[in-house]
Amino acid sequence: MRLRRSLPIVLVITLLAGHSLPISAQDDPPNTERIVDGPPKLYTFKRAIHPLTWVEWVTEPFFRSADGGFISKIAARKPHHSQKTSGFKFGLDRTVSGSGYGPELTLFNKDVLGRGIDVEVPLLYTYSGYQRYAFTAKVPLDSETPDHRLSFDVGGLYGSRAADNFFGVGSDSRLEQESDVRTVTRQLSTGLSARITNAWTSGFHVAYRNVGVTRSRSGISAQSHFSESDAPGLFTGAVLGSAEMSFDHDTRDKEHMRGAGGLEHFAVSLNEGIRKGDFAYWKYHFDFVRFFPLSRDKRTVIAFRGMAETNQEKGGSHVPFFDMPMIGGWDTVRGLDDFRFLDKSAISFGAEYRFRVWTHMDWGFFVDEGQVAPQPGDFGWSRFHTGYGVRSVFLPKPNYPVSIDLGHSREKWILSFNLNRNF
Amino acid sequence: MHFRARSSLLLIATTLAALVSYAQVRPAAKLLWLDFDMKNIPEPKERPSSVYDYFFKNQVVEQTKQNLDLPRYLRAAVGHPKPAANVNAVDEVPDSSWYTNRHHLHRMTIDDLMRGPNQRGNPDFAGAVITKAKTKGVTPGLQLKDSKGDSYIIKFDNKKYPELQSGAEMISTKILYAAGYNVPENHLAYLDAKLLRIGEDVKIKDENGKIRSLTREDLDETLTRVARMPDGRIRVLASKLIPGKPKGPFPQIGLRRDDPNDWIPHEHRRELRGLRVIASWINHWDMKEDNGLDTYVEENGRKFLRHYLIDFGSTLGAGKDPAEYFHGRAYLIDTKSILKELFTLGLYESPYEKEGTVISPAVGMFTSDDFHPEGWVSTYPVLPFDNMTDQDAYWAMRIVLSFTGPELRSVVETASYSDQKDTDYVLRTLLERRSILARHWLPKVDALSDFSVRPLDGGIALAFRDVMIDSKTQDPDSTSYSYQVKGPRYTSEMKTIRNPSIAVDRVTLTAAIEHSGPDGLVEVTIWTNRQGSSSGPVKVYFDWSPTRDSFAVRRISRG
Repeated sequence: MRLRRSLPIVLVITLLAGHSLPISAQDDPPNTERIVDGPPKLYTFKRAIHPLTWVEWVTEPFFRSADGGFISKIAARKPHHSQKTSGFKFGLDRTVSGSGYGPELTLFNKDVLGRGIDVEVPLLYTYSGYQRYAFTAKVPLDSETPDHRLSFDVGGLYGSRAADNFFGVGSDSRLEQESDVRTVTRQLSTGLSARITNAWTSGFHVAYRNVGVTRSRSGISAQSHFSESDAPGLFTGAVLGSAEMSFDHDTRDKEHMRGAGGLEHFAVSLNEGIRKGDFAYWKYHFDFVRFFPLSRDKRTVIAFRGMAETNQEKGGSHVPFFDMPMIGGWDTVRGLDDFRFLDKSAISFGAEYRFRVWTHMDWGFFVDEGQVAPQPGDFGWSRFHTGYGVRSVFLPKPNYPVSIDLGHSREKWILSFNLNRNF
Repeated sequence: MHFRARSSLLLIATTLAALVSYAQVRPAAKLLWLDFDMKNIPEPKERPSSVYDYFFKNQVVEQTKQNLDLPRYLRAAVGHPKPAANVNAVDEVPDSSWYTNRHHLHRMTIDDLMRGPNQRGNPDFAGAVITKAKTKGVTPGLQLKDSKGDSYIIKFDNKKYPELQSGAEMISTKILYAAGYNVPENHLAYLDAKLLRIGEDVKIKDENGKIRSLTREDLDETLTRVARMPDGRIRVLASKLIPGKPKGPFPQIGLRRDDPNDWIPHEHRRELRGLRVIASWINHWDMKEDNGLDTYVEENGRKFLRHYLIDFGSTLGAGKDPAEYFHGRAYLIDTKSILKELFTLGLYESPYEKEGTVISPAVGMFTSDDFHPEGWVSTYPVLPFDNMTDQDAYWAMRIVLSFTGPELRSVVETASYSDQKDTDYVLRTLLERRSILARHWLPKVDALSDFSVRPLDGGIALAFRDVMIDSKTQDPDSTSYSYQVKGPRYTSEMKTIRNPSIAVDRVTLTAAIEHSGPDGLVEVTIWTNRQGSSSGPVKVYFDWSPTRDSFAVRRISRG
């Protein structure tokens, strides 16, 4: 009955679909015949009822905005920043693996007081509630080259990690022990940086760091599962003073979608507890990425990366859990949860076969390996955790890679989305 | 219950719509040479023109719709793809606001070909006034008003590639105009920067995005980035503003809803479908929707839309960067190519990865040895191209083949390359690409054309051209033609001849004509036999005067 009443509406819609605007016949010449008798019946209607037309209607405002509207104007403004000496810039970034992404506003001035002092104030808040508010200033001490061979650095940081995963310390920690922990870091640092050659840089910095550890804002708190002896610093946090010497060797061929070269970073630091616990240790850290082109045009590349770190306690002191190296997550072993395993020593290694499938897209297959142990002597061939999978790197803008990695381990499948990463 | 009723309603509406819309737009079976789509219409709105329209809407939405069109695949699978809708009874495209039959039906002189669309003389830029300017970006541009008061868009050549884009645009303009398309008046001109005057209130956007007035310093800085001749003058392509009010690009698919004259879906217009062959010949890889333009014109007291092709600076071997090999060989986002790379783990080398050879700065990357007509694509998908049938391609091939060697040389010489070798190379490459096109497209059809009937000894002689033989694509010794004559109640025996002329004797003709009414036609069906295989039939219908002393071809049916 309802259907019968609606039929006229259907017919009206059907007929209206073929209507056209009026044509004036004034001043027409004698031969005004057309090759067809009229527009095809219901042609417009047929196109209008296509589901993809509806999708287009819904998405059109967004795309138009991206094309010529608000979004486009913001995006178009970005290239000018590199030429400006002061101002601000917008971006998307994260603080650590698992922090999620959020908007970042960076205030900058590259020539404070007209003396080439480079100041940056990045302010980041991610959707998971992670925060990083920093201040860095580089004062050139030698201005022979535009890159400043020697500079005096001053920095400050407030960082809040709202809910990092915590599974306990050691290679045998169980997935079921998953809990969360919140750390808040306040840091002041100063030191010297030197550019030795175009590829080599070095730095010496001292820092004062106050790390507070609290119950996480969400999930199960690590303090409910673990004791201070399980994870040093879990209940106390730490106030640390540290001195670090670092060396970097950077021969990468370009900023993103690299095809050759590599980056090696080595740092050694001495860390002494000032308050909130007995912490004293040497930290030795080395990491690298290296790219080997398999074709002349570098469209097929084998990429390697690795990390090795050990923390050696001084005189029976401890290493706080939040300063221990970890494996798991995009930066080390994909297919494992972020911060899945941590201990005083860790190694990880990854190999990736990467090939260009389009001018703006790479595809790749990877294998990552990693393990943690109390001491380097405890590492063993049988104790590696393995992750493998596929990845796609998309470059919508030359300075903005977006990667999607699907990793698998014995524990789970993990899909991760990354912006602007270096590997 | 409500849901069911609404679903049924939607289903009925959809079915009705589908049933009616799949009834094809059939061309009238009449010998019409003017499709009068130039009636007075209200002024349409300007259509938007942006990356969204020519990229997302066309490449993603409309192409996906077309790719999901099952009936379209079925028609293609059974060998009956939807034919072009604006074809007259003799398989030609009538004149319209889109298209004018020119060189292939009405021979143009060499002077006409060289003049092309430039009907009102050359511009005079001595003391020309700058009325608009774009100083930033890869390609700077100016708009000038010359001493006659005409406005021109000025396009510069890249400093590294002098003569490249201006030369290509000159040649392609002449070819597309002779082919029948509406194109702008494009002139080669030589500017003396010192003589240019900056008009009042000419604004530019500076590097910070701020709007301010153009200064002489801005102009001088801009002109340092463009190609100059040894004597300091600047060779430019001056494109005269098209008459009428610009109303944005015409959609590549569908109808323009605010144009009541627009009755034929654009994807089924033969001049747009067949343009694929012509575009591939001149390597017009930048054939996006943005490079079409509708203007609201007033002619003979009527106001209507005229449809133009514009911007041919990315044709032949030209482009902003002529070293990009993939243009003409892959879409900007070519899923087939991407999947091949993906599944061969990068071993397949796609056109994106290959490096071509820049022949010379003026020629760019224009070659014939790696030209594949079937594989040629524009950088952005052009939906009418996807609907091109073999008959559409044959129509376009006849246009491409209508240029003689000397005519084509004259057209290429309008590029005024400073090195004669560049002129010779472009001409040779155009001829080679044309031969490759002919070898590819002509064997797919009967390749017969120019049918004419005349009385002969009481019967008639039906003469025609074999385009494959004329273009030296096929050896005449291995070609023959079988034919049958048919009337309302008569079918002759099948005969085979060697020459493209069929003699129908008095007895056969009388038998065919017998019993036919006043509107009756006699049909001659011809099969072309080449190297052991026969083409599809072409049926030629003719009628006669009451005294049977004159005959006329009334209809041609192919396939």
